[in-house]
Amino acid sequence: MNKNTQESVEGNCGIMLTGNHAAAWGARLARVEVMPLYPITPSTSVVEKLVEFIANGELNAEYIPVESEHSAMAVAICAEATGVRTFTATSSQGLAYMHENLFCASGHRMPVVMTIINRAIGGPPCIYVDLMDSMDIRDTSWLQVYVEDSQEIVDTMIMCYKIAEDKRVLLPTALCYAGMLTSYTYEPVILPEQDKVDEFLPPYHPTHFKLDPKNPQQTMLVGPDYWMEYRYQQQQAMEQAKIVIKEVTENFANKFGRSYGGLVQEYFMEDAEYAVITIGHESRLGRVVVEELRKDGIKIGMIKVRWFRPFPKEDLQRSAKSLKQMIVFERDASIGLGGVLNSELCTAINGLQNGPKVVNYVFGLGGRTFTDEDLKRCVKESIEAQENGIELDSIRWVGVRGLE
Amino acid sequence: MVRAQNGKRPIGPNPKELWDYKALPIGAVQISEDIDHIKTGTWRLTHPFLEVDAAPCNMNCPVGNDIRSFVHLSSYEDWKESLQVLRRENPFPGVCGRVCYHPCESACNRGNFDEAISIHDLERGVADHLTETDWQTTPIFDKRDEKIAIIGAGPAGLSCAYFALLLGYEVTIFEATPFVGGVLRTGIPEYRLPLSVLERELEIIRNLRPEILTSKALGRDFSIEDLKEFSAIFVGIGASVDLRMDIPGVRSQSVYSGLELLRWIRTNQKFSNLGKRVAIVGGGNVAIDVARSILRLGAKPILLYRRTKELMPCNPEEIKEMEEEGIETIYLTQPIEIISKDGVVRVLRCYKTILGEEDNSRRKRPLPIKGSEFEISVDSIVFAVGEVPNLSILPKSIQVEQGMIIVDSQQTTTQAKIYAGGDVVSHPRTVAHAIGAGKRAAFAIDLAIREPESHLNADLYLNDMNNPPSLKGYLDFHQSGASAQHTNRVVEYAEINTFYFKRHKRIKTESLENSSRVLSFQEVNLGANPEQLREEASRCFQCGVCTQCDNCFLFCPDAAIKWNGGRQTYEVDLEYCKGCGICSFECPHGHIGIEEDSNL
Repeated sequence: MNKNTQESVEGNCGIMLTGNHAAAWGARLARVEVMPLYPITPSTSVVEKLVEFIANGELNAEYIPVESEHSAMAVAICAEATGVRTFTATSSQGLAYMHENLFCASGHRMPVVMTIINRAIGGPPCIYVDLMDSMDIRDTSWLQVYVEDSQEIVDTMIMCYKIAEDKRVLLPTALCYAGMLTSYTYEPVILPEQDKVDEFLPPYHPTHFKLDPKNPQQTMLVGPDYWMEYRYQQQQAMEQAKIVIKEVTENFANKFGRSYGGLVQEYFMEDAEYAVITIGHESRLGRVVVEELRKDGIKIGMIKVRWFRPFPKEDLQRSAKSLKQMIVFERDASIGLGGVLNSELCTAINGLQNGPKVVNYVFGLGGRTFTDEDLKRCVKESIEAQENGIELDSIRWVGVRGLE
Repeated sequence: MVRAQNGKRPIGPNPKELWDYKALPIGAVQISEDIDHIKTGTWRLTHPFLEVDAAPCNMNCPVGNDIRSFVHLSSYEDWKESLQVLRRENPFPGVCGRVCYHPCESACNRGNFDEAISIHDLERGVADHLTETDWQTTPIFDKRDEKIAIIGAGPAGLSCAYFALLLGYEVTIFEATPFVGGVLRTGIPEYRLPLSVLERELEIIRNLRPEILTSKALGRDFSIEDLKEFSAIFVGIGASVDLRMDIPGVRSQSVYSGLELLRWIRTNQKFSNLGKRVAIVGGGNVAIDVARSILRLGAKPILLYRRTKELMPCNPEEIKEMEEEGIETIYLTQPIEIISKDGVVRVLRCYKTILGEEDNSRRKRPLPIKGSEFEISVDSIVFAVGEVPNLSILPKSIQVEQGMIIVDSQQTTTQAKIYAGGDVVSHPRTVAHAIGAGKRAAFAIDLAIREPESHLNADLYLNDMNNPPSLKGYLDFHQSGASAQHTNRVVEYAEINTFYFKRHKRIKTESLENSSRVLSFQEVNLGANPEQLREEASRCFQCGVCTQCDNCFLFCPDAAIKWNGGRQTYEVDLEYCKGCGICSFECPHGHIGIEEDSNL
């Protein structure tokens, strides 16, 4: 729970920032040095704010107005290779256009940090939120974290650099949040002090590889004799990242007074029999519903999945042991099966004896409105079915007109 | 371990030992130190080249002005440097900014986009908005002992004098009248060219200390034989003899010639005895100058022309201003007789004409209509039907043809050491052509004196009539001799990337109100203010030059465009250029061309 956040806001209202401006502030406080950026709704105002910082002399960074997202990532990789801290931001089709270079960044172990402002991916074209753009990069070996508000954006951005650049990790990291809902909403933010951020996050000095622009080099083909070792190194880095994320989140909480749990953030889970599983923005609805249902005497809690890669397998396994049901809410679907988070969760708790029933609600695609009432209705439906021994279809779309 | 050549650290997997995943250095994978084989230049079939091409304005300026440069300097308000560029090529920017028929604007590529750059307003503005101290000038070459004689202090003679002085020569100017300036002083009315402007620019020439002898007429006060001490003679005596139509009554009192009348008005500001109604016969600039001058003297001018308005051989702007002033015009009319009574002109008899087939001048020939005779009652008549040079004062050794001196492309006459230019030779009768001819002659004289043996090489430079007589070009030619390559490739409109330009109309300068302008000889066009000038200059396409906009650098996908700090230019790195042509396409100015690789 963001207990400290709430206390601080009561004492000091901070400044009002949209999610995108919070991301820009995060990059500024992390003292990024190279920013290849290509605008796309709803991520454009991140670019605009950063360019404003540079123009005002508040950020000493090189802004590179590239001609496409593909180039943005290519430039970010090469700049990162020379040992500078880089940043970029994108959404939807822009992210899809980067796709091959995402593998390039992770395969060459370049800890680029990028914000993905979630937006439905066309066609037909749509500019409103769902998570199907970032879920699509699940297998690119990027770390992925989903956050819910402006404060969490600023704080997590700083942590992202710390985690990505850790020698045990050295993988690129994507910070994801909801387009429109989070990106454009003003919320009070306590900005971390620059000097404390500088203590927390020293400059990036890579030791694994450094490119000298005056002596350009090319990476060569790797054959079957080494390919699996390289990929397994990445798998190991992801496993290590779980440890690093917990360390960094804890250190951050100690230094700045705001805690975000670790890979997941739990709410009323101590004695819970039912759990709402959320990711990103809808965690806000989840908390409201959990509090209301607790008043009705239902032993329910919430697990907010923050880090999607590395996937919090151990955390979810531990929680699942004592649960009757896990109700997964997500704004995405792998068409032909169901929610991506649901599939991941099922894989994580596979083989658990007397494991919980997992029910998956797919909602809100393309920005379709989904309220706390909607969420509550879904939770009640699945709990009642469980208690009455009714077999529900475990993957359920809600909010589709014509669908009961 | 596999180590880099410099031995600093392991750079990649060892294929023999087959390290396990813990021993394997992360991320870097196998690195090739040698990337020569991926130089993308070998893929290329064509390559770009950066070349300063000629701007159409520059190539169409009879004076040889560097218009593109002075406009560019004006766009960021460097008036002083802008004027230096102008004056380097022309002693009369203030004059030309007013009276030139501006062929540069007709050639301007911007004309295909919205409207041509208003170059004449810019030239005038730059010349007018500076103080006297900005006009200092000094000779380019060291002083020499050779003396040059200039006969005729008109635009051609003064231009020749100016450049001969800049090139280090002693100059003596002989002028038949008491006035310096020729047609600029006595032929162009004050409302088009104020005396103060002319005097200001004459002062620049005077500051170079030529000897100016006025009221010294060739044939009357001296002869060519008297000029033996001079190394070269330039004849710029103009066309000062007015033609008159050969019709009955043409010798009557109150029948005048155009230039003669203008000379009177310009030097005395008045002319009595004109009467109330004055008929002007002719359709050229002189005819209109006379009509508008007469209007300002309080009489009523009536302009008679034997063809239509569209076929008038004068500047269209002059027609427009004449019409604004309400001057009566009768087209398709030819005089046949002047009827006088008691020695005073009473009536001009005319007939109407119809246009027939084209004549030698490629204009339709006016033919009389039978029975169309009519009479106009007038008090005096002015003939402005053309002027010819007075060739009788020249030695017979100078060959003439059709009433004009024959010269070659170096302005040399058939008599050695005698050069000629201006209205006395056969080229378009404009101030700009006269200035250009005088300038070209000065270069030819300089070459003949300075390098008699390589004199013929001058043809390489001067013989090319497409090459305007540019002082900068001449000095380059001097430095590098005959090897100097001047690009005459003119940038075409299609080479300009108009994506980078906004459509924006040319400036409109203010004019005097009609009601007040006809009451005096005050200048009609009030010129542009500095803000207008800057705005106008910034419309320029800058055809053919690099303005360091960085487009090529930014767009090149191979980072093959490199900045050369020493030469302050961009260069193509042919080792990496794939010849895609994006730089050429994105260049707004047509500065980057594409050619096939020669090794194909």
